[in-house]
Amino acid sequence: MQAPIEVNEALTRKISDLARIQLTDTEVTTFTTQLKDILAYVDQLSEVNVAGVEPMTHPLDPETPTREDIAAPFETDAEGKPKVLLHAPEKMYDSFQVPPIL
Amino acid sequence: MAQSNLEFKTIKKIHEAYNAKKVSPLELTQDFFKSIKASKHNAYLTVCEERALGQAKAATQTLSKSGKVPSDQFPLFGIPLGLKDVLTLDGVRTTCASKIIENYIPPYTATAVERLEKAGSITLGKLNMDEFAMGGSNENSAFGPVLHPTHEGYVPGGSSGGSATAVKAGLCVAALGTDTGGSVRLPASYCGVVGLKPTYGRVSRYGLVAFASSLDQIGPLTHDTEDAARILDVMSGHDPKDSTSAAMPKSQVLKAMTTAPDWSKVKIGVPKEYSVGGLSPDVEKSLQESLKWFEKKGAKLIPISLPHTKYAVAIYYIVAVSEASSNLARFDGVRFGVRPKDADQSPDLPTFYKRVRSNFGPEVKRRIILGTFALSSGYYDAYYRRACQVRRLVKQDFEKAFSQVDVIISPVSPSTAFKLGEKSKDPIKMYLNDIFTIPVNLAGLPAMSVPCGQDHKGLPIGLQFTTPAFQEEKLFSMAHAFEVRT
Amino acid sequence: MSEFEAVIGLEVHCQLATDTKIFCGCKARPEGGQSVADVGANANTCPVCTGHPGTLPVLNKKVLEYAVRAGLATGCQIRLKNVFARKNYFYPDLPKGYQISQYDLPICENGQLNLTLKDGTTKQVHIQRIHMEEDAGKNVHLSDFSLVNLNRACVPLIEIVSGPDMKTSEEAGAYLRALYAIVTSIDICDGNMQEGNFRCDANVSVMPKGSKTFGTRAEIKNVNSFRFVEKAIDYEIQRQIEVIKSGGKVVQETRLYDSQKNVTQSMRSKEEAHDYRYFPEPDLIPVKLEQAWVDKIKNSMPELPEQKKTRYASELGLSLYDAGVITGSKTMASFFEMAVQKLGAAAKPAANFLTGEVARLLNEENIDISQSKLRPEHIAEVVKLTQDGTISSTGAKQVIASAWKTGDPVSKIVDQEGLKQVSDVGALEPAINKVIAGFPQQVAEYRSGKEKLIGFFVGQVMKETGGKANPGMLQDLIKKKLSS
Repeated sequence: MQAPIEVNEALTRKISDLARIQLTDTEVTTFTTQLKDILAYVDQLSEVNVAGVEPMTHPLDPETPTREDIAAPFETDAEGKPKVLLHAPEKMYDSFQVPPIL
Repeated sequence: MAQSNLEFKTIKKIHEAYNAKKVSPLELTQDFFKSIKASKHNAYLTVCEERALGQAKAATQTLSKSGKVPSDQFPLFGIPLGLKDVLTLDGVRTTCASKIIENYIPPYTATAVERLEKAGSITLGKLNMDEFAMGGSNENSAFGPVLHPTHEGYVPGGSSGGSATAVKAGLCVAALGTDTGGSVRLPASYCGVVGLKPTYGRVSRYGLVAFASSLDQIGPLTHDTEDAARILDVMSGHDPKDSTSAAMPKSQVLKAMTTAPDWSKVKIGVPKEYSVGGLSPDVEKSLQESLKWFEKKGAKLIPISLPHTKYAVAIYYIVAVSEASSNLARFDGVRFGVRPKDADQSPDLPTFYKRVRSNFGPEVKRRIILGTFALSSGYYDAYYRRACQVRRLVKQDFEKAFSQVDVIISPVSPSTAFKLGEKSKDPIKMYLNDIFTIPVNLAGLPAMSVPCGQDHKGLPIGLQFTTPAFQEEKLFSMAHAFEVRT
Repeated sequence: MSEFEAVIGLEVHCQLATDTKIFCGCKARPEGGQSVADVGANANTCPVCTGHPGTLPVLNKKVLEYAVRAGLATGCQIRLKNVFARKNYFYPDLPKGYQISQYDLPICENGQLNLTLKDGTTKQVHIQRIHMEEDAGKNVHLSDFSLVNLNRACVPLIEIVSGPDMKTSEEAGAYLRALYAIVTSIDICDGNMQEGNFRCDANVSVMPKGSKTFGTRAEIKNVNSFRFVEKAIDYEIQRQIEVIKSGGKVVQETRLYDSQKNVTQSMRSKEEAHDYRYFPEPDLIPVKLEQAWVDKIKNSMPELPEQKKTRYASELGLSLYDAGVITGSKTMASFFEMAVQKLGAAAKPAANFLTGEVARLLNEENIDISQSKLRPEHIAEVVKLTQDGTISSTGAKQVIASAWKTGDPVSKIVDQEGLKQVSDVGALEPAINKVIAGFPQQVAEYRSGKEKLIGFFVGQVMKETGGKANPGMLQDLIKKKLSS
């Protein structure tokens, strides 16, 4: 049922790129081994018969909570600026500053 | 004068002391800070001295005016607490024990914390933990491990290690921790305090920095079950800001605890899968002694089967890391957090993100990569989806079991606290520590760790009580009766 | 082109006109009259929509209602149990590092849009799905850095995905106009395209005519004008054909349309094929709708453009095409209704002005009629004055052009620009006499049978009167004079 997945350093690099995590060469090797071990361990899930079983993403199954469409603006700081900017790493013109996006 | 924080331990005792004018909220708070400063446990990451003294002064004034603690209105009046550093407090640094946000100051307060402070509590500071709650020994903190409160060289357990140590070592009256796969119950068990994981949805997660959204719950670590009950009664209840919080009012556990259970009517489930060797002899002995006590009181011990137990850790390690890999994507240095100097000089965006996120610790990186893998196209069905299916089977195991029994009793951990460095090199060994605690998170059930004995080294052992969802009243009633047993 | 055919699919992102964002209580749009640009950067933000740690989404009820309305208005099936999912990727305007959207269980599926093209033929376009999601923030690019403004982050969107059913830019344009008319007339979208309320992505590919295998497609992103979408599609089809003809292969990529140069360009930021790692959003409970609630919405839906169009054609005698243009947006339809029903203008002439002169002006400036200075009073008055002969049809065009610029009342414009036609017989006689006297040869030719020359005389009298003579009257008057 399970296609054998080739866990190798190339895969580790690809995944770490996707996750925007930089790994050193040593880390790539260590992580690949650990990834292999962990995947070997979790592979036992493939022996379970899950035919007809609905995946469970919530322990509860209540009615959908919603809110009314009524404005509730968030606080500003002492100078009337948006409070979420208060401790931004870099900001300018009330915006978050990042290196140029090509 | 004896340090009041060691003399008056529990909430009830403190309120009695306040009423009898034996100590004031200000004096008590100052004593705690004295102890914190002198402690070598590394339990606290941030101490809110000015803020707490301000709260304590105000409480002292209120007390002198009213003469009596207004405990009906403010059940936690003047009680100094510690908060695991994964909970937000407006204007106070929250680090999650990680370098990536070691400078983060949240602009809002977690609902649970807000409710505690509204009930009169005093926040002493933010407690050390495994980075982003990922770990079982508090050795994964970017700011140094937490030490065991009584046994030098041992770990306190994790990820709420700072919370457990702080309570046991007299550095706060009680603490909030969080439990995703056992992170409140395990350190409680290792350190000899009470630790509760409420039913999923009982306590709001708004303001709890998410690790695994469908598993996380905030829970108290306390000296006794009564304190845990008081805290739960204050912080539980529906929160419109958390869509996963149950549409239920606050719990009323303290009241329910006053009635001891009729043990002759209680059926105790003992999972046969939990005793397939692997328990240390001391833990096995303590478990048997506890079970004998229940039998002596008239309860029936019923062997039950939770057949999917052996898959629990595997399920957890797919579901939790998958959700975590997504939850931690927001740590990108754009709007908050630490931005390393070289990040701004990045030649492109992916490099910018990588440089910022290089501040994650190794365990966090490992879990993010594992989670990213489990969700990626081609692997999603085999890993994430399948894990969610088996998760439902785990839940059904419990539902079947609870049709036969009222409570499930088990150890919290196969062993007692281990030495620093002993397990941290082998991730799989570490994961297997959580075998008894994880299934409860998967099924969303409430569970509590109550001290039940010690091993031959004097290291504490914890007994775990589990009931069906939203039956904390029953849970506390039984756990309390056990706790005060003679 | 004839050896190839194009395959076009459209994805429209429509901002919903709710007061607050989809998952938090921040304002979703500026106050009446304000533009998005008037609101200070990050003024409409909070810890939730800026992705602060520990924050959680809570669904805005109105978004559900509006999404269901959109589905019902396009004949979709409403999925009573639908699920939000996380779409994971990294970008500075995406604060959480994922977008909350819907993946395999969207709220609406399998609808259709029936289009009427310019030549009167009809076409049905399948609507595959409509799902709810949150918008991202906006990046402003400066030379040394970029700035991120999260006011738009978490604004509610519905994404409407068509099947790959269109073959020409005209069909695409008709689809977009029909969809736009619907979402504005059911009050779920403000329809301001310049503010980004209605954004189109076009997926374009070409294949040998009659082939059953689609070619590789390119995606043209974020075009916010119908005209530009049509032009971008035309350019892209040609470009792809040329690539194939010269032996190359079309690359699957994202392209942007440059309206100045009228070309599509590959986005230089190279994105590898994204792996979005969709999974059900654990912070939100699956949506469970009641059929009774959906039925209630269905029963209280305002008249749809299609119904209105058929009604205009049958009740007011408009052509289907004209009726289609008039019902092209809520604002245009109410403008017309005000002019005709409240102010009593004749329907057909009013429609002619709107689909002609007014439509041209709106297209040129790419604005909605509600943003112009024109009022229903202008059109009603122009129709009346044209019908009673006060102004000529040329004069009418001039009035409309001036009203467009100034918004002044029609009477003022007619006076100021001296557009009153001369319709008084007595006033016209001298001019007619002068012309007849001045062109004896043509008079003789006319009298000997060249009846076509009447046009010549009419033209001369118009010249003589500086264009002010009422041309409708002239023919008869001149004929009378010449035959006497």
